Amino acid sequence: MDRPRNKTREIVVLTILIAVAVSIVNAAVFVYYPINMGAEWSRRPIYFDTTGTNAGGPDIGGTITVTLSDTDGDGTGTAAEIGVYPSRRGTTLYHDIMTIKCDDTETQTYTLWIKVNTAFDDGAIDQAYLIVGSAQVNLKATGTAGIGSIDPGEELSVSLRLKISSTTTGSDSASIELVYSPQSTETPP
Amino acid sequence: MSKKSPSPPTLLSSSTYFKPFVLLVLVFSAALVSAAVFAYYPFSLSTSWVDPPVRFGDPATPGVSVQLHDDETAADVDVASPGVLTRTGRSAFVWDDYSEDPFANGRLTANGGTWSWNPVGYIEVSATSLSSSWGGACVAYYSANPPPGTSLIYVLTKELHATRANDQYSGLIMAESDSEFYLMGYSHAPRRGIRIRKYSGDSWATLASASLNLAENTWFNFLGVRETAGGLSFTVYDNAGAQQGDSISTTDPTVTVNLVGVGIYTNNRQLTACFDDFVACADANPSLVNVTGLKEGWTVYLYDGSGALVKQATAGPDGKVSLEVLTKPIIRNGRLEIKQGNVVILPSQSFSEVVGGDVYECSVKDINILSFRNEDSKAYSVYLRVKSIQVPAGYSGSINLWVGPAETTPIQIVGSSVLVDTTSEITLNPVETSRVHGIFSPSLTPSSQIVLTLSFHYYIPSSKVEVEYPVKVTVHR
Repeated sequence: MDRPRNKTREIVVLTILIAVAVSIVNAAVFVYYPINMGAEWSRRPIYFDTTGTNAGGPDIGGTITVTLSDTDGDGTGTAAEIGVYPSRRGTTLYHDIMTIKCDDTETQTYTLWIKVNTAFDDGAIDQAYLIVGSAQVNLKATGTAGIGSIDPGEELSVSLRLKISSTTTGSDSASIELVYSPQSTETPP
Repeated sequence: MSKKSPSPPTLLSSSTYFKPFVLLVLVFSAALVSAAVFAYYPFSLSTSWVDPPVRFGDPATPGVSVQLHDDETAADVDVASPGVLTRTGRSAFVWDDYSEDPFANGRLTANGGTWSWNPVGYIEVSATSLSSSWGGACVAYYSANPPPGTSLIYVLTKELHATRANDQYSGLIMAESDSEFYLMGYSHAPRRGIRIRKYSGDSWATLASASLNLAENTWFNFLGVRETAGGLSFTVYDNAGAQQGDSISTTDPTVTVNLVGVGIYTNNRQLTACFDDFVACADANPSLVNVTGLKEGWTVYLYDGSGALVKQATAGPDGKVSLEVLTKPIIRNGRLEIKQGNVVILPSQSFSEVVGGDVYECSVKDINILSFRNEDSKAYSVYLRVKSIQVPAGYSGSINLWVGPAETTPIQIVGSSVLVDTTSEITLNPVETSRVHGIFSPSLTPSSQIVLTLSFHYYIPSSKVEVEYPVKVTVHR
């Protein structure tokens, strides 16, 4: 009469042992090393400005619009939206529609790039170049292009040249980023 | 005395964990050192293109062909028949520099005395007695007559005399016949001076005179003028062009002048005289060469065959110049050149003979090669720029291009050099039409051409938004 009870007990013990064994096998070992991360934001060294430029001036078909955002309340900003109305024929040049400035309290020279994320792709646009200082960036192709460096207190004029050949009116847009870094050996990802 | 038991090993002091920890810290540090920091500012551009506010047009200028493209925002301009300098008038009906013997071919007819031609280029007469005709004067005259309707007859010649005798005359002859003529000349001592004498029928009469002492064996320039109404005048200049003494004049309508020449009156004593550069003109002063069709400020240069500058003059508002050639009224292989400052408007152009009284017309004119109109309600500033030029080898002409109704600072091209590459600006008001002008003086061979690649610019003055259109100009004969 005792043998069946003993067998049941063995099965229970064995099951428990197997479960313990499995849990031991699956248990992860975590080792924690303390690392302190600090982040301290300060005044932005590079910013956009439209003071003294042709932003807001009359365009061929309207007004040159340059809207700066992420501002510090002084009219400068770290994000920009530019809208222009060129002739659908010929080459239209927009001189000095915005400036890129390096704060004069800086002591650091920064290397600059323009990263074209979305290029002008309408077939009516034969040529589209963003001109920053003496460098020009093709806005009809995506990619990242170095445009030199900027010193403390320096400002670079931003101009735009568009060559359009179209029998009708139309529109297109491009999305780019200004990238800067205190180093110049690596290009931005 | 209790013995302090050793501390149990910590996580870091354990040799099992210490080495991997150090390695991890080193890797992390290295990653931190090499990590580049990049900041990204978003930046978007949108463009909406609109109709072009300025368009080209064809000015319909003769000799200019315009082809427009791209909704009249690109132009190919073909310019033919560029300017040239042409002689439009010659008032001289007799001119002789005596580079050839005038007696050998009958140009001159002499009645008495000993006439000869000196191959150096002048004629000489010597006489010791009166001739048997022409009232005793020794005359050499041309057969050419002044054209009908002439109001004024001018006679200019160089004169040189050698005599020690009194009351002898040497000078110009204006004659109707051998019995009706005037002698305008110089007489020697004791009554030294210039005279207008008339021989009529069988007697001489002095019509006008003035004292003047001219050196012996020296060239002077004698200028006589006859009006058909009867007026007569006579003036002497030295070989530098300075007037000697006063002019003399009188009125005598009795002789109808249709022959001109030179002559002497010896009064039966020895007289030798020489003459050179004889010019007789109808209704034009032989001491002047005239150039018309100029723009104010253009300077005309006249060179002789050896390249020496004879005279230069700058045009005024009337667009004309008169170059004084009193002392050199016949210029073989003369050259005329037109400049504006240092810019050659018309390169040196040769003529086999430039004769006093000639009129040359400069057909280098403003040519409207392209029109442009503002279809906008805004005013634009407009200018033109040269981007490149193609000229044939040896090209020495000049091209000026400018915009607007009046010549402002032009693009200036001389030979293969672009002296000024951009025009000054004009304002193109709303709904206004203006033009691109050109002056072309290419010394081109018929098969060669000049190609100019230009850019036409207009911009909004307040915002500097600027549009550029392509223009190609081809210039050929």
